Amino acid sequence: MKTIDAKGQLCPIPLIMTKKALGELKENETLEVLMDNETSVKNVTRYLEEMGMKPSTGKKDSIYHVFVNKTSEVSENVNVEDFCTINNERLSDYIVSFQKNKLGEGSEELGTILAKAFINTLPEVEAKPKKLIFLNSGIYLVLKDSPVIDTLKKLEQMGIEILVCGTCLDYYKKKEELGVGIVSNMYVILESLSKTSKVIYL
Amino acid sequence: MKPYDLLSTVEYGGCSAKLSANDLSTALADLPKTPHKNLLVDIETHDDAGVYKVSDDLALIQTTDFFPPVCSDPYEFGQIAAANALSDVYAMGGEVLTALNIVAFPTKVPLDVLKEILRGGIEKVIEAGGVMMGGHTIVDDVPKYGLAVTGSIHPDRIITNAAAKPGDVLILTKPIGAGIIMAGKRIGEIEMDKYQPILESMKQLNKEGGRIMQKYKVKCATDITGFGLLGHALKLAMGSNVTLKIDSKRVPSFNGALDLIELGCIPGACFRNLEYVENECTFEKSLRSNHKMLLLDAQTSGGLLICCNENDVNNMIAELSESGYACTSVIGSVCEKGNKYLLIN
Repeated sequence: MKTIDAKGQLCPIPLIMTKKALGELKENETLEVLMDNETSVKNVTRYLEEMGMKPSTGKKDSIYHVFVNKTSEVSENVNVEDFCTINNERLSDYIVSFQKNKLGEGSEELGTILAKAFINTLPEVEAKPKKLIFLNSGIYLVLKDSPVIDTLKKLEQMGIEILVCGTCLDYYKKKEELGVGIVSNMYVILESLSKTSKVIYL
Repeated sequence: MKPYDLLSTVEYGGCSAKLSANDLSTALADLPKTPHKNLLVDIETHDDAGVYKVSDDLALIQTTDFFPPVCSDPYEFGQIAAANALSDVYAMGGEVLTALNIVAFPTKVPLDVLKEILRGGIEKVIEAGGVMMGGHTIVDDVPKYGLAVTGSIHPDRIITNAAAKPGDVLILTKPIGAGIIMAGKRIGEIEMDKYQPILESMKQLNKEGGRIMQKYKVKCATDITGFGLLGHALKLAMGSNVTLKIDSKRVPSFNGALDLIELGCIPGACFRNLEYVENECTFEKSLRSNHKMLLLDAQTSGGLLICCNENDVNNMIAELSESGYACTSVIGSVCEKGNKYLLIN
């Protein structure tokens, strides 16, 4: 364990000292930071949490002791959940635009089954889209009672952005029933579509 | 004579001049209100200044702001504090009429220093087209300077926090990160070539920005100061009951700010502002914590955050850029109110 003394130091010096000391530690080594100012303690622990670490704090004779185990570099990401979900860097630079709630021409029943299968397959494929856009009757797929709502929530958690056409929700009077995604507008949708390398229209 | 270093009067690490937004809300809660038919804008919508209607074609904008030194040079401090106080009038779309000095000054500091601070302030009021009417000075250990400002506006043309519409595009006129760079300066971690640009930016009035907003009939905007980009964005989103979507990669920042955050040089105000916004804000997983801290950095005399009609975006950006706000950028959009008021990716 390494101990650094940040007593008498005001923000942001204790943070800088902590960051520097962590950089010199090996993985799984413990760092102890001594501080005498409550605000510094709060900021340092919050900072460590932001970096995905789990600091603990004790107080003895008006000196605060913050202990933290150095964890791996991936901890730059904000949430602990990040460790069990897919990293954003694995998202590919393409967008899927759902123009209706069915896939392909022909039997409506089959179209519904295929749309469901398409979305349920997305979490499994390696090259995931960075965004999903839902327009016109496509918005029925993102409503609370949609058969694929759980899959879409899972995709959103993975960092895939879900944009839903606000005008379309208004038209079908379904705004209250939105179950996943962000209500968006044509400007944002058009900007997304025009700035990506590839769009799949369904 | 060696120039007097104003920063020597401030407790080092003085990143806590502003009461946190949460504490302020607690203090203000349940206080008696003074409603009046002529009071057009007040604290209710978290706005920048109060607006009082005098007649059908005239309303007064009133605001005040003052703080301890943010830089070493007294003249520059005066300019910055005044530009910051005047900014609220511009954020509401108004024009400056009059100003009063608000001064706290220690007995142990040479009076020339006070004179330089006031000179900086008066010059900014003149640049704003306003009249300096006097002021009030008290003795205090730490100097403080600012203005109480009165501006004018036509009641139908008031720009508030409460009029953002889904579909509007968010424009920011000045870079952020000045607070981080000031903290870096105090600990000697920033070179002059990265420090001077933030001083220039803080001295720059939002006057032209206000004029251009009126030209394009903007209805909703705010200026970015102590609560940081996200704190002020949240106030605007709450005032308008919308969700603001901000793309962190498009937010302009001062050169050197992200490097300082990487070092751990994060002012306490970032953490205070994080506490203020986090319950109402969704941070996308892809957002790096460094970038998140940058968006929370407290600004002094920051730029205008403008909700612009999508048809006017290109013209407005061109005009703002030509009028001295060279870093003006689209940073996001206004959406229907979703789960949270802010969505940051």
